[in-house]
Amino acid sequence: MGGVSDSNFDLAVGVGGDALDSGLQKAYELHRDAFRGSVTPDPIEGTAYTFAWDFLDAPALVLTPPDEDLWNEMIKADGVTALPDSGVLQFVAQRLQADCKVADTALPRVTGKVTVALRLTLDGGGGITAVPLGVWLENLPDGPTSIIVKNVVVPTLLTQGTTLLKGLKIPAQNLFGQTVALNVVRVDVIPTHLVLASTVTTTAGQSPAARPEPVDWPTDKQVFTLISKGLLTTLLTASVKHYENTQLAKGDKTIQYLASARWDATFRQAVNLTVGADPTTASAGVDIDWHAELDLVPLSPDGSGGCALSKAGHES
Amino acid sequence: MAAPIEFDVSYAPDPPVVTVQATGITDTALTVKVTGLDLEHVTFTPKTVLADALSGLVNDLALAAPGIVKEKTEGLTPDIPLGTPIGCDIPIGGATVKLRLASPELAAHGDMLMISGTADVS
Repeated sequence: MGGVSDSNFDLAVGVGGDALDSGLQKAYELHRDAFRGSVTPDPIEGTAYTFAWDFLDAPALVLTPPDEDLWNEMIKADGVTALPDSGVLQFVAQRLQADCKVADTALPRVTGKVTVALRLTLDGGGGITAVPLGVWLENLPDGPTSIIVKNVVVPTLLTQGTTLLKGLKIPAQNLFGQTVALNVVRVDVIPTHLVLASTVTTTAGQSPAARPEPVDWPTDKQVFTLISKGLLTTLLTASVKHYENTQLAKGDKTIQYLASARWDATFRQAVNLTVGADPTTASAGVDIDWHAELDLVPLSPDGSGGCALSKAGHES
Repeated sequence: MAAPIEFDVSYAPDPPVVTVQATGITDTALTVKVTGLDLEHVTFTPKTVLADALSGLVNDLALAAPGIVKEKTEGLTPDIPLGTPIGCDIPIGGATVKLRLASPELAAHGDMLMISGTADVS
């Protein structure tokens, strides 16, 4: 296991599988219509096919690849043969209801478990792409090689699984009052969490490692955000600017009948702000604007007072 | 009234170093405490030669100044507002689910700052 190091990313967000499932459950409750639909592609060899689907329960994400047996049974997406060795997760629905029609003839309704295997990869533009790998249906509406299954049901379910995670990214974050635009440079699918790691800016021509070193993510936390020292320094430096030109302290002292002196110290700016070895600590040089002055007590009407002394002071 | 006598001010170390510690995090702010400021000396040098009595007054002030600045600065809690609660919007099946970090906690993980908590899904 590699350490969690600054050099690879600026901000990582990890979300536990249970939290993702809560999100799916919530999406299912709020947007029930997003989980059912119907397609009728252009007629194939003169015959119209219709596939209407309805997820009868909220689907869940399983953050592991399908086991070998399941993978072997899956109907693969075009061009997919081997199971990739990273970034694979499964979208599982316990009860998918499928109503199919071939020409005007309705096939018997089938309901059963469905699993779609997907791979999350970087899209090269700062976001994530879900690539469909394969689908397994507990109950098929027709034979596995039938046109309706091969050309309509399977492509639709693969697309549905992909759409489910479309646009997954770390949105521009408002961190410590600063808006930070982030580019995802790493996606980790580990059994407990989905982790997206990002940098503030992408360096031109530098592509992220295809198989980055494993990181010891804090998987005991349901949701976590990790912030690099570099980003933290930027954020803190910007935050400190709000305190520029504020008075730190002042003092004064008077000698009766003689003079009064006063000073004040104003925070001008922080220099060389540095995040400590313990990233919850930081230090900075404090550039202080000092001002000090002394007033001589003016001559009083009767001629007494400190003027003679002050004058002496000037002349000495 | 005569114009005040002005001073050049020097201080050591220059610049003094302030240290801060993030003490916690809430839904709205990162709480920070100033833990130290190593200001040792302040010298007020008059731009005009002063009588001894006035020099004494000024030196007394300069002697007390570092302590006053340190006292005022140490213990400051310049909390950093978070702007919006930490979280992200997850597009799922054409809908957007808002996932917010609840009960946030602050810690270090490796050499990174970690803010962790539980998910609040809405």
